[in-house]
Amino acid sequence: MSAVLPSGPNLFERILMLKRSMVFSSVSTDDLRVVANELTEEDYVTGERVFDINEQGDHMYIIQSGAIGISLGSKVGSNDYVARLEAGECFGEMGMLDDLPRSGTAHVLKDTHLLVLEKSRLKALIVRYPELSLGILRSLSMRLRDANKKNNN
Amino acid sequence: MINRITKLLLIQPDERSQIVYFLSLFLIIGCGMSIGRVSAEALFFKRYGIEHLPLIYLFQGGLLFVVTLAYASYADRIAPERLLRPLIIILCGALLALWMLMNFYEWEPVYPIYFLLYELVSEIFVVHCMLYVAQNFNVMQSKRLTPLIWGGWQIGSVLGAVTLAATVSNVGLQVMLLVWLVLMVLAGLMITAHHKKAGLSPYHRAGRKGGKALRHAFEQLSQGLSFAQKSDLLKAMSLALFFMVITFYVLCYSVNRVYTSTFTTEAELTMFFGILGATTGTTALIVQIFITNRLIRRFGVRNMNLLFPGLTLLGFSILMFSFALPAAIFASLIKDAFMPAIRNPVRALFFNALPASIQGRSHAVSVGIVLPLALAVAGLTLMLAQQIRDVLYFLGIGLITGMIYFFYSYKTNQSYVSSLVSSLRKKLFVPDDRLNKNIQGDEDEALRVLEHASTDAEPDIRFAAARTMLELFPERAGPVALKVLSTLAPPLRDQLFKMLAPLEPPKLRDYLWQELSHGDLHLRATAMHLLFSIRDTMARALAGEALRDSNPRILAMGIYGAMHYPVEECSSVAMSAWRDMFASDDKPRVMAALDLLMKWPNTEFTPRLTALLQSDDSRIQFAALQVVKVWPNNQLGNLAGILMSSIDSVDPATSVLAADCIALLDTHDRERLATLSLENNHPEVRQAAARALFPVACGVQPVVDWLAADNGSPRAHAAVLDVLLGKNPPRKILEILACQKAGQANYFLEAQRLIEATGKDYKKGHATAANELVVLTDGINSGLDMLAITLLERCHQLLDQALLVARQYEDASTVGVIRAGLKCDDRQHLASASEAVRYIRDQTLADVLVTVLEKLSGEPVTKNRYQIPFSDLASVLAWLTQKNDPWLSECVKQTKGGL
Repeated sequence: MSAVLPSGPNLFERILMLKRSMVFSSVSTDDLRVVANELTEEDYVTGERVFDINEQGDHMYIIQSGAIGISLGSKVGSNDYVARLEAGECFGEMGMLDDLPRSGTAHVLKDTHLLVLEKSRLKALIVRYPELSLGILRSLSMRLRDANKKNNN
Repeated sequence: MINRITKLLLIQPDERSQIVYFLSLFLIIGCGMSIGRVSAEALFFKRYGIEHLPLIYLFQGGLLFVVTLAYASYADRIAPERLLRPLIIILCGALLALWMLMNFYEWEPVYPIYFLLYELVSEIFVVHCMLYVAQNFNVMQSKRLTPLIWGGWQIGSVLGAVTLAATVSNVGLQVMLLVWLVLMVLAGLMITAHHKKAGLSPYHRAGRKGGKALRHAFEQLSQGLSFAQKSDLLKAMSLALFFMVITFYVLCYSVNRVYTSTFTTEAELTMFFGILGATTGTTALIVQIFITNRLIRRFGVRNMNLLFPGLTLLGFSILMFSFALPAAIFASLIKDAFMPAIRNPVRALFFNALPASIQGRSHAVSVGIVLPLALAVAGLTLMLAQQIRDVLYFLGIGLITGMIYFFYSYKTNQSYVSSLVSSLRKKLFVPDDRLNKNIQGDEDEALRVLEHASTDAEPDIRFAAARTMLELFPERAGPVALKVLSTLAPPLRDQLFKMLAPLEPPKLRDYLWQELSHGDLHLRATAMHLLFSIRDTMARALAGEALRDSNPRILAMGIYGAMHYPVEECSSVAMSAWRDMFASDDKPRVMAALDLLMKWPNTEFTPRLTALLQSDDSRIQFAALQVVKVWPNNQLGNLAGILMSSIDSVDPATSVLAADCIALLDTHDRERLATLSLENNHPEVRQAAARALFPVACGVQPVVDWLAADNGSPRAHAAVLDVLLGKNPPRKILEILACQKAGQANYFLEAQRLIEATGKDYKKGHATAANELVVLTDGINSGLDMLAITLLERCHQLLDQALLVARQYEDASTVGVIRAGLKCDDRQHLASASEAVRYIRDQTLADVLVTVLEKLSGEPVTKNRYQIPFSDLASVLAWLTQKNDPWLSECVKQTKGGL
């Protein structure tokens, strides 16, 4: 992992990326401004791992560029990815909301630039701006409804 | 060409394939039913005799009950498309058997059996196909597309009738049984192929599985009946159906008597039935496809529900005037064209207002109980009427039942909206306001509930009950709250004492004295403060004792007591102790000194208070702000600056308290700071700012003027709206305001659609300039993307505000459920809420809301009569710039910069 890239996305692009994530999709853009300001940037090179299975999860990641493979084991070079995530996609978001360990390992498939949100920062924001939590709850409720619908079908 | 046709028929592009399937399927089934109907009637009337028709109605009633029981066993448990397959197989088997009996055995009773088979099958198929359509489309889609889909059935009917009229003289009537059989096989194959690809019906919710089928069927009927007792809508619909069936069959019998006496041979009668079927079918088709859906959208479901009963009454009146062929043809047109074209689609829409889980059972009650019973009554009535030769007797019966049918259709209309809202409430888990109603209505009942809660095993519940009683019924809450006191832990006791003190219930002093010997210092300090406040004579001596205590809280109470009574001999010691506490670096001592300053403001400490207001410690800052709230005006320098920075504190409680203090500033600073704080991200800060901007003394008009102007974001408006609603403005003002909000939502939505369309064109034009970031954000101009999203959010926020205002003068509970439905992303719930909006009393508001909701759901707009103040991107951006909405302005700026 290395330091921040010289030219990151601006506030608008960060908000748009957050808006496309599952956790923040129902949070209003007015509220996402404060979340966007808390995002930090991290770089990873091919072959690195962002996190390992069973590790304590306290960060959420948005891929700005590059690709991430999620596997259910920690073996390096494993081709058994249950998901391959590209630019604009999110991972590790459930770790923000529960205290359970990571359910998979995130492998860097090609050099990747990530926007990162730390759990403690989100918690502080929620305490300060309670409408954020309502938006997050709404997003989760929508997801639950979708899951119910799929299950019924 | 296809686009023009789909536009004319109000079909959305993504609905095309589904419509093609349903149209084709219903066309085939309708064609088969038409052939079955004409052949069954002609064979029965000519080979068996129309005089047996009333008896057949009696049999039909009994058989329908049995068949429906079997149907009800599976109606809710199995997806409608899966249940259609066995129904088709059974029908095909019966048709084959009957055809063999007619051809090889010439057994006379086969004709009434065939007639009965047709009647039973047509009832079950119509009901089941209604259920099938309802489980594939939401309310809004159903309203638009149901008439069109049933149009397929009518095309089939016409084709069937024409085929029969043209071929009957060459091939004979009996062959028609085989033609019907082949058509049903084809329908079965289509259903299988379609659902293999499309999956189960999207709005099907499977009921309970397992158990005995017959017992389950009885359960279904009994559950349906029990629901009918609870649901005004289903009760009125069932009664309307009961009288409609009697009216309908009396009409059938009447016209068939005219036809059989006019056309003497089987071939003539069949040919006439064929031509009549084609004529009524074509009329039904034209009405259904081009007129019904437009009429429903224009006049609403409720008005359309009265059309068919009205026409039936007209038919009977004409027959009473002239019992001859022209009058009979007119009556046939009503029952065979307007019933399928208008009555059936409208009735299907009423079923959508019932909870989805009970729709199948409600259909089962209709077909299994109401229909057979009505048929039996119609049969018996006609048998009796047949004894008297005068046709006026059975026509008179038809006219009377027709009038009762009209009455219950009217009752159905009255229950429609409440049932729609009630179903939506259950689906969205919106709680009913029982306690609220109790409070508004029966005070004793509410008190009883709260008193019961005050003895709950859970201390938090006991505390909440006591607190609620103190808030709602202060004059009656004292004894109960005192009883609760002794059962609570010290922190809750401390809070309850503070709430009880202003009421001074008789035994409060005894309780306070008990607490003085308690080990909990907070509670001791509270008890001391309350006793000193009411100048309890025995407590006076405690002040001197407390001044010698090492605990800062108790010491502060000693200072308070010394000054409040006053205790002259302790005054100087007390002041000196207070100064020491303020000079100290020890946080508890400073906090206690500040707490005392709140109880006993002393301007000697102004410089110290000003310094503490700017403390880095949020708890000290908070305590200092609490003092500011009770501080004499104009005694603190630069309070505006201090409050401004406190509002931005990381501690939300401090921010809110600082915002509460804005009201203490002079007019200029108050307005400036309040206006700024209205855009804060914390809702309570915005509310406090709105209260400061429009204090209690301020009238309604300045608030209304502010809301009418383009001031701030919808969030700021929501806070100001809250203040306005607290001032109980007159209804007229609320109506205007609700319409304004809905109208603004319409503008924002139009702006969003224009921005989105522009964005698509813009991206097309700049596709080659794509870089990684472009791929990342899925847009070349992030400002355009953000603007489109923000405008849609603004539209939803304004819609919600319009309904919030409407809630004050409409039925609050109904509007509350509509608000919840509109906030839900589920299309079915959104459609139900949109349908309910049409029936609010304020029709001016309803018109605007419906326009916006139709646009939001992608439905064609019924009445788009609103002028939009922009036409292209430049004019939209110029219009948005005037809005004084900070975040929107930033989005506009970013958009302009990116173009």
